[in-house]
Amino acid sequence: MVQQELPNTGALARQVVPADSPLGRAFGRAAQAVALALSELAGVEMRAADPRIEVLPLCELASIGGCPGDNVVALFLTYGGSDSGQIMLLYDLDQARMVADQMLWNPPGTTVELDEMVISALSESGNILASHFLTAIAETAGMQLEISTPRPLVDFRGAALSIPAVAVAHRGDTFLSIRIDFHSDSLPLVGTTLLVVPDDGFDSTVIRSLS
Amino acid sequence: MTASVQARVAQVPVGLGEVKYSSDPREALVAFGLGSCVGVAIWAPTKTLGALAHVILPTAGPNMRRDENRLKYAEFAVPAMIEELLRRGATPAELVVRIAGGAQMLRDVAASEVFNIGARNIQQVRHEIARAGLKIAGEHVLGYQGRTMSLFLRDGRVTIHSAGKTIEI
Repeated sequence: MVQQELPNTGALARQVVPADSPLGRAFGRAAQAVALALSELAGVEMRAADPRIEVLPLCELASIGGCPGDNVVALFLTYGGSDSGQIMLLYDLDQARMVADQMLWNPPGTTVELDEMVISALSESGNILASHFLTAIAETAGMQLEISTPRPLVDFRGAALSIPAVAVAHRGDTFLSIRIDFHSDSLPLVGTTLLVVPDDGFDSTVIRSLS
Repeated sequence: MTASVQARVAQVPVGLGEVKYSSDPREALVAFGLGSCVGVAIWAPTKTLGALAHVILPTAGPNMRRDENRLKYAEFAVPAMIEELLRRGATPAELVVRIAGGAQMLRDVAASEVFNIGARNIQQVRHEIARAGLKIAGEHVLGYQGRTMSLFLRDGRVTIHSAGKTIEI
């Protein structure tokens, strides 16, 4: 197998912001706020990993948080105001069912089909989690950030991530990825990934303010 | 194909904006989770040689940088992969082209809007294939669901996995 020669984006890629930097700590606090909210929504303690803040090559965008061929419930949002960017919340299917049970006041294990009512409940959960995240960031940065209505889809991870990929591809071959993974210690198959892609990368107003 | 033969096939992922080539019959080139992106598979049977592109956008804008990856654009990826296959000994008459993808991932966006990038990708891919004098032998395009596209180098088969089903195109 041979790959057609691509421009060398390796130098730009893998720029990693340490978790103990001012930027890393700011996103770490936002991650904890989301973990608390997600724990309430899921009815089980969810822990946030340290945010991974890094510049990645575009070709890796479709596999953020797992295999691009995995099925997920994805909630796509954009934010605006003092800054702009895209947010994608990716629920593993088991995580989505857990959150749906809690949101719909059903006993655990009730939700099987991801029908319209379930997706509507999950959309609301995306609104709650993204709001917690952006509020924490906006307060730290002293800025005003507003989020859009979540747009839900149940599909392959890669297909969902093609939405932010289009905007990224218009701008270049790399992107600033702020990724937070949430896991349950007791339920290894349950997980959520929050991906934030600021439109202007490291030049974003929020990123510059927090750095 | 039996399960035991399938198990021996090594899946080679083709990422966003990439084009990959293979003549190894033990491999399958795979574009996982195509959404609005388009997979273009070209098979040259006499050389048992295949290529798979994972196109993201139809055309480059006027501000494209010189060092930018052109293969993410349909207008560059399709001619480049045809040229490379011919350079490796394939003949134009034998090339078998199949395409998949181009879905509209956000249902609430009107089809006429600029955001329906999937349809524009399909249109551009078709245009480039026709311009090269080739025909599309099979396709699975548009709609609202993602797809995984696989090109098997053993025999040139192309399968599409979407909405829980796998079909051959």
